[in-house]
Amino acid sequence: MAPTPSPPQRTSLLRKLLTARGRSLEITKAGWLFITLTILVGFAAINSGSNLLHILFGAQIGLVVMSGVLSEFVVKNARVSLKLGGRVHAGTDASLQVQITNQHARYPILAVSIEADDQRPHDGKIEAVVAFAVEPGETSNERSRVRCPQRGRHPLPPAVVATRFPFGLFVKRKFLPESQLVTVFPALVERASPHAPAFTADAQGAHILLRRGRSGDIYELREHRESDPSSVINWPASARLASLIVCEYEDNNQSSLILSLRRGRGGEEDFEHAVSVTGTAIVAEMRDRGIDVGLRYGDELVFPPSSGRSHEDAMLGFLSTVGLGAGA
Amino acid sequence: MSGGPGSSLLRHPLKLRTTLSVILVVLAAASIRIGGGSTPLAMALAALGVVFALRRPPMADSTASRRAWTFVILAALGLSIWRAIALQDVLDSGTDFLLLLCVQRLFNRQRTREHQQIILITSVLLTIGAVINVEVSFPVLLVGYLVTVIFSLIINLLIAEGERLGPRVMYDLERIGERRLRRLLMVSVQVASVVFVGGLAVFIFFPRFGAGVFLRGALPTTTIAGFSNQVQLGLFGTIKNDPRVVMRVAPSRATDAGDSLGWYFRGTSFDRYEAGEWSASMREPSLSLSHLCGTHILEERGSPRLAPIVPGVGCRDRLSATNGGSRGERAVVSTITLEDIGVSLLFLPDVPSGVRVKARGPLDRLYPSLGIGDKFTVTRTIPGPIRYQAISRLHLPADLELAAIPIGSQDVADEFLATPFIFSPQFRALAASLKIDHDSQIGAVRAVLEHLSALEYTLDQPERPSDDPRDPLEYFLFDARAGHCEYFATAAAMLLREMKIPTRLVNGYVGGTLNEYGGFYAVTQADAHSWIEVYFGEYGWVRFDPTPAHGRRGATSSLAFPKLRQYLDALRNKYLAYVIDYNLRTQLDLLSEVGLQWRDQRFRVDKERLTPIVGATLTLLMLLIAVRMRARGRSTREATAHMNSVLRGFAQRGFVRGEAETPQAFAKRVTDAGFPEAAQLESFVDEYERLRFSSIGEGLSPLPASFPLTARRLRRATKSWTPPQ
Repeated sequence: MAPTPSPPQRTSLLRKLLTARGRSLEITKAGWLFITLTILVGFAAINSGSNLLHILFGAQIGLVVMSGVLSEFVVKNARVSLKLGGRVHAGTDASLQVQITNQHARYPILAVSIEADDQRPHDGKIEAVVAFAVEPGETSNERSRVRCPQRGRHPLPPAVVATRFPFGLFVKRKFLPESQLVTVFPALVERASPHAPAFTADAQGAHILLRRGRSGDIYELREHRESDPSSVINWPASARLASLIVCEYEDNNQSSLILSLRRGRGGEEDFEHAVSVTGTAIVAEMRDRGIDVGLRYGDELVFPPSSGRSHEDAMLGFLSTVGLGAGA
Repeated sequence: MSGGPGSSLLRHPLKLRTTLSVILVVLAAASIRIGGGSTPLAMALAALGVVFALRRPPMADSTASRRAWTFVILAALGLSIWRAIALQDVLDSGTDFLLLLCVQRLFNRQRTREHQQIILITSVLLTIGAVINVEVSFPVLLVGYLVTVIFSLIINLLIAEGERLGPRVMYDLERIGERRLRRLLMVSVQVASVVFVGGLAVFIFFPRFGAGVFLRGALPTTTIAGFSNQVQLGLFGTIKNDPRVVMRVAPSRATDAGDSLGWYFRGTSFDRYEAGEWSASMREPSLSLSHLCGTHILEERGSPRLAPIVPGVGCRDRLSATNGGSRGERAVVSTITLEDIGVSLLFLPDVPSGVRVKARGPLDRLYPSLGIGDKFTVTRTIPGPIRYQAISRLHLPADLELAAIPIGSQDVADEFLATPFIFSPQFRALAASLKIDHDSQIGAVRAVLEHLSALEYTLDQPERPSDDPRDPLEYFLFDARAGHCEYFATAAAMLLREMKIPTRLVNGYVGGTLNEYGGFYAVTQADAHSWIEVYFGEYGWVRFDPTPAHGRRGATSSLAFPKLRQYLDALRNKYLAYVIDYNLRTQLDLLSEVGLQWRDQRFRVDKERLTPIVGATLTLLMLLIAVRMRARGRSTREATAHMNSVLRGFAQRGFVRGEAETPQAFAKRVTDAGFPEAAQLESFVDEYERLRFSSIGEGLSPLPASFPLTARRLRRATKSWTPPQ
């Protein structure tokens, strides 16, 4: 699957003008209405010289100022830490733990949310979470989800600390620094059944090399050769077909397989699909079927068959960057 | 709206939001109703609509309901447009329509959007209230509105976040709990305080230019009977039971009046009486108005009643009475605040000499003029109370001076001598009997007043038979022998005219009760009064009051809570003086107080006044900075102490920070060695560096409460950690 970057979101000129020093300000629909009303009241006050209208006008200006002060207080005192809750597979939601710490010693911060940064275009996305109140010095743990469209070593999608506090008239955003690189494993492909083999042989450039044995599931039926012992002849089948038929079985005692991925370049649709299929096979065979899995890339056996979480992670880690070059 | 027993509104954010919206509607509606906007019927219907809306769940957003409301709104819009165009009822029709929109939004109060619209509509209503409501209740309503609207905005914001981010967040919202909502309420109060201070700052410092691009006409106000050009006999007395204050009078110099002023405030005079109705048809031709030193001066036969003491020197306080009954008598200047009672009259203490009208802002154009009935009139461009200075002579000519004027010697218009032809012989005989033995006008006047003093003063005159063909006055004189001031004054006027003595009826106010809190004399509607003026040649029109003394003043002293009423009235007077009448002149006076004087189209600095103020401000600012710098130093020291304690913990495990090793590098080394609390250590070091080395602007924040806790946790972790050998 070739990565298709989503079109960059257009940012209004006003948003650009209201972005500076790591902050951005957006005026909400209610905010526009309020500003319009304030301008009208201000005009009426100046026009008429009415003292009470001046008080109203001043109060409205005060609301705008307080809105700015309080929203700045919230985003300034919110320290955010993003932690992945597990593996990230490309194109699949992964758990993201969001810790919001109130750094202020005396006052709580209210209605602070962590959202995707719509001013830094990115194909990935972070689900917005909100903490309604974080007491002074305390940390609020929120659960979010993150999705990265492409495998590789990437920072998480850009996020912001945002607040509409206190009045919902403006959205104040503080840009979070780019996160450390995380490994995004290949995308997982759909399987027909959780108990079926991960894929059939020769699927899109990826091969399974199985070992034959004497027990387990039937591996294949073939005609008898002279070298075959008579014990392997399947007599019922031979009688039906009027020819000597040999039945070969999978070797359950030695449950291991080697996945073979042909060489390719990242970004090519066929190669990306093969990487995804291979990654899916690793997860399915090791986790679901509990067999040892190895990985061959081209002619090179990169990982001999083995088991265990770290082995699985190592292979998936390899697949996350294979074919992408140094810059992956 | 509240839940069951023991439950609290604050536990249910959605119910709380609805309650706040209702409070906003009530406050906004009150602000316009007190100012005379909207109609009682519309208010009652709106109240019913709100109650009905609250007693049922929010309306589902169905096609049928949308159509029904669209029909209602369109019908109301059409009705409002018709009222505005056909009945010239722009204000009431507009406010009624806005109230209907509020009710409609309350019916559909499901989402945040509806509540935000209610906030918007009520803020428009409040803005209208700021224009038409000059009562002291408005600032109270405004403060209440600010607290409520800020609380409502915060609650709406939280619920909107829930609506935006889905049911999971809504569940979190419902768990917020009462304690935090109470805290939000406190935040709202604090924010409202700051916002109100902002409003006051703009109010005080924003220059009142008054561009006047769009102006509107006067708004309808309550009209009081008795001061138009026609008045039915008996109607004027009906306002004698009204305790509302109509005037506040502050004499510029001490009077010996004590608690009761007892002045006659002349309103208008009537010259024609016919079939029980007085009317004003003419103006005294010898009177005219001139303008000098910002004062409109009454001139009598071309001679001003006031003239500069020293001509050409200046205007302020240099006018003095020049003629009248007692030559050389000094005029009394009194500042009068007149409520908007729906008439264009200025009430002046008798005998008026001049008036200075103060504009209530740059748009107010108040030009006094002399109208029919010798009344001072002024056209208001802005409704509400007006303030003016009245200059008067209080002294009347003595009887001895007037005794020289014989009956029938006056050359006046026939209107002042005319009596209705339907008066009976009994009436004419009474007049003739009173005139006997009196050659002088004053003698006849005294005889009439003495005769009338035998009649009874009452506000409840026996009802005149409907088949009585006589003038109501004759029923008063011969049958009822009781009535109120209008009957007494009319009877005196008619009897004197029957004697060929020129007389006219005057309506105005008499009295003035000291308000000890405000330092002024309050004149109420109950002080409305009628009296007569008799023409005495060179002395002009001289006032006489035929009403018995006990009937001259309104009976307001028996009202409940007189002290409280006085206090509230004094408060209102201050409000009118310092808020409603605050203008560019006041602003310039304030600037002058701090050393910036506006003279000759430019500001001049008075260094003696300005220097201490600037010095004090700078000192305060420096103190503030010093306090904050000290706080920053303290937080830096505390941060360093906590860091050192953590480092000591690592040193005990064999990890000593090198001299040139940065905290970040040390943390990495320890983490690589397998320290289990790596994430805590990383954030701790980040925070430490921010506190210790950040720029001044960012470093002024105090030590976060989490910092010592993290340090303690790290020390515990170092104790239990066994580093690899």
